[in-house]
Amino acid sequence: MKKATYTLQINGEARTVEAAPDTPLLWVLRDGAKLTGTKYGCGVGYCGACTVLTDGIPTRSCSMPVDALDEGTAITTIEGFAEENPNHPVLQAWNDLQVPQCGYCQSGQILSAKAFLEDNPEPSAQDIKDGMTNLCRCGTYNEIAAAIAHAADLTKKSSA
Amino acid sequence: MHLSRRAMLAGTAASFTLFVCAEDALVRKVDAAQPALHQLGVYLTIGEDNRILFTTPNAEMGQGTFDALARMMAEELDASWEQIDIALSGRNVAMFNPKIYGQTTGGSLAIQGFGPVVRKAGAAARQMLRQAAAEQLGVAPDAVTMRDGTASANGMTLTYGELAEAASQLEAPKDVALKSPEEFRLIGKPYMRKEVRPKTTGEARFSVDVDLPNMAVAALAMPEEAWGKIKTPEGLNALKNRDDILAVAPVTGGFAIIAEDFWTAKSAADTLTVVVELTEDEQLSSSDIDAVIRSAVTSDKAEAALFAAVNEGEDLSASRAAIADAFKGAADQMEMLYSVPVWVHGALEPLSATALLDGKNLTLWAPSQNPKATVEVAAKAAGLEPSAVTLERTFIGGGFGRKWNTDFTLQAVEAAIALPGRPVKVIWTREQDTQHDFYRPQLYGSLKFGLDADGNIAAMSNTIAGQSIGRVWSARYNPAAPDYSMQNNPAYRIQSAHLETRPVDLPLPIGWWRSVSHQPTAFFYESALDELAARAGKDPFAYRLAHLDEPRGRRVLETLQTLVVNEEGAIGIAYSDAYGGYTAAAISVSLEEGYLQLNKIWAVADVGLAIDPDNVKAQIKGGIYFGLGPTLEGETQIENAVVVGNNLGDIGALTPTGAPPIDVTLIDNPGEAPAGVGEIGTPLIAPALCNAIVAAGGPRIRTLPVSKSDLQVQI
Repeated sequence: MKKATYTLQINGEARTVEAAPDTPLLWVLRDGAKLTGTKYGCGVGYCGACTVLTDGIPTRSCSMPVDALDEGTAITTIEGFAEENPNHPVLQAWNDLQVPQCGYCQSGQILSAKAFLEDNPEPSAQDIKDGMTNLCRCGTYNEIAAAIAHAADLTKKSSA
Repeated sequence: MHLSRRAMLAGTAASFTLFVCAEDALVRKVDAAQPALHQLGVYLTIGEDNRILFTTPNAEMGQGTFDALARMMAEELDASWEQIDIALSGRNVAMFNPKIYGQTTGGSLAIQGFGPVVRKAGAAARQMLRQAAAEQLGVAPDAVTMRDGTASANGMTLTYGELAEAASQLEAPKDVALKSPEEFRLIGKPYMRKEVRPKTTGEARFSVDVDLPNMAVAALAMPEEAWGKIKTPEGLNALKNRDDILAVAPVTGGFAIIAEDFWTAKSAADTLTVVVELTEDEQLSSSDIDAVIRSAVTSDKAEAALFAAVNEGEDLSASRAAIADAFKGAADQMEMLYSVPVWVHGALEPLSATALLDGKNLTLWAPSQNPKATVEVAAKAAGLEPSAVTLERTFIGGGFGRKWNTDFTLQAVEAAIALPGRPVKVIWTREQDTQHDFYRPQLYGSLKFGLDADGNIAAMSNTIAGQSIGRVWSARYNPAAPDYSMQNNPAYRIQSAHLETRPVDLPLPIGWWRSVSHQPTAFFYESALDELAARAGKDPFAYRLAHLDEPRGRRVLETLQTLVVNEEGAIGIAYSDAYGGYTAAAISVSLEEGYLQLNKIWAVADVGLAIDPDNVKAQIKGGIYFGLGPTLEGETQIENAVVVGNNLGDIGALTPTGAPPIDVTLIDNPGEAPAGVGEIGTPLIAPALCNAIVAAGGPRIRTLPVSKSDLQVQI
């Protein structure tokens, strides 16, 4: 497929990349923008390792062709999120509870958790279980659930 | 603060690339030729800036030894944790784990084997620094107080950084005393693992993330078949003429299609259909494999070896005769045939490696559990001496045993040979990772028990048949020695026992999978014990304790019992004594209208000295989940050499929905040597779950996965 030029809003910056229209956003980010914090896991939108935020919404970037993105869509990767919000409650909770093992899924987990908590700032344990769908092969699910609850507490305390 | 990207220093042997997790910079650019750095032994470099660099001998794939080994070293060095940086080693023959006879990461042997080595390295460096301080301060070495990276005497204090140059000139002491647990300030204490923060910001570098100047990226065209002779596909030559394809290289297992970026390479590779030729013997499906192994376990004529002689000097036929006699004297007998299926590793990071052939030097960036073989295989492929190969290791995005193999690193070398002077990164697709695994082999266990009048075990035989990982992969394999890749010793006291292995050869590629033979062995024994307890009308805890002498194991089981005794619901338990630890788990389940609901899991472990107790708990939980998914739904279907179901949704990978909460209790026992903890959780879950299913009124499951039964499961 012939390559085209795309200008994307990535982490608040306009970035121009050359890519075939069917190139998934994942590979545009990784190979084009050199933002490798977004991971390739399954390629079919199942595992969530490639999760980024598009206009704040968790998006499985492996299954989002670059050509399908609306112009001006704000794309946030883990790098942008962590640089912009180094003390974000989700990041703080992830560090307080030392969630990662191998760490490969954690970029996607963290961005999914951030968006999840914005929709549901005081989730129950069942809400967390139902709301988080990203795979972790190391099995950090207990720690992820606890970190989301902890992040909700941190947010509540800081706004109280 | 700007976080610098992975620093690259190519060229001389004195330069190296590091992943260093410092307080203020993820990756520090360090040049070993710089005079401000001083080497103290194999593992330690101390800078005059008072930063201490620990080069870890082991791979880091989520098990936490990156941090734990550094902590063990720093404890003996009396350094402050804040001044420690950690780098991943490449291939280094001086880094020798006496428990695994080399540098390999596996067998849960990092802390058990490298732990004492790096503690001694820390203690030796501390002694050298103390000696240097004594000379500079004009006091006897005994008068110097070492603490938090400083040496003090007579009101004067020097930092390790200030002492490093003088200390590095001294001869390393041969014998050093290690601290006792009550002196520990770092080991066993809660504080941050250094790789956590970079793993939450996207900065941690895995193999797929390697990014080098002028790098090309390769995708692979591979057959769907897991074995067979590969034929050159139509259309391969046409690809060579495309402007966007840099090179096309036949590699072991397929064809590398090299472009400037992955999607271009993959789109081109996807235009090819790679087929194989299968001989008549190779045209196998799951049912054929099952029949071969089942026949081996049930036929006396199958190739067989004694797993372990119970009586000294006993050979296979003497042991068989002895157990036959023992069964004759038993009041009751029970026979069972158990099996576990082929399972997939499914590490979240697909296989990937990068290689650069630059004149007579080869550099390899890889997530390797096995540096020696990785370097040797690469050297052979490039026609070089191993000394001309440099291995730079990355963090591993999940290994579970798969990244012990060298197939994927070999492909990177073969691709790089086709594009000399440019680094070539090879990335597998998930489908390829699933269809070209070195699978956990299927095993059958034929168990027979002779029972006394009370229903207790008087005699036992256990014959396990299947493909032997040891026979295929272990350089130390000895057909006359116990094949621990197929079987493990029972945890209980049995008066008369006969243990036998029956290896079969099949074309399915097999390999080490988290907890290896402990998973099937525990499933067979711990399920069987519940069957025997039920037959004797006894409680599963009491029945196990009646056969268990090991006091640490008894305490673990008794502790678990107190945790679950008042729990409602159907509980199943299991016990294991693998990797130097003693563990037990219980699971509570509900069974309604054939639908299996998992409520909660409890685990209790005595791992001896816990280097990082929070990580020990996390490893046990992770190990349990790693076993739980395939126990429920891991059924690898093979149709005429093709593994059907080629993505993460097909392999029994546990999802958050299927993961019940786990509560881990550690027995405080710091006086005992630390166990390996990466694998100890995995063997417990299949038998505990299947025992709970029976307690809930469900069927006795002797063949995994559970989804093969009539029960409805959700992962």
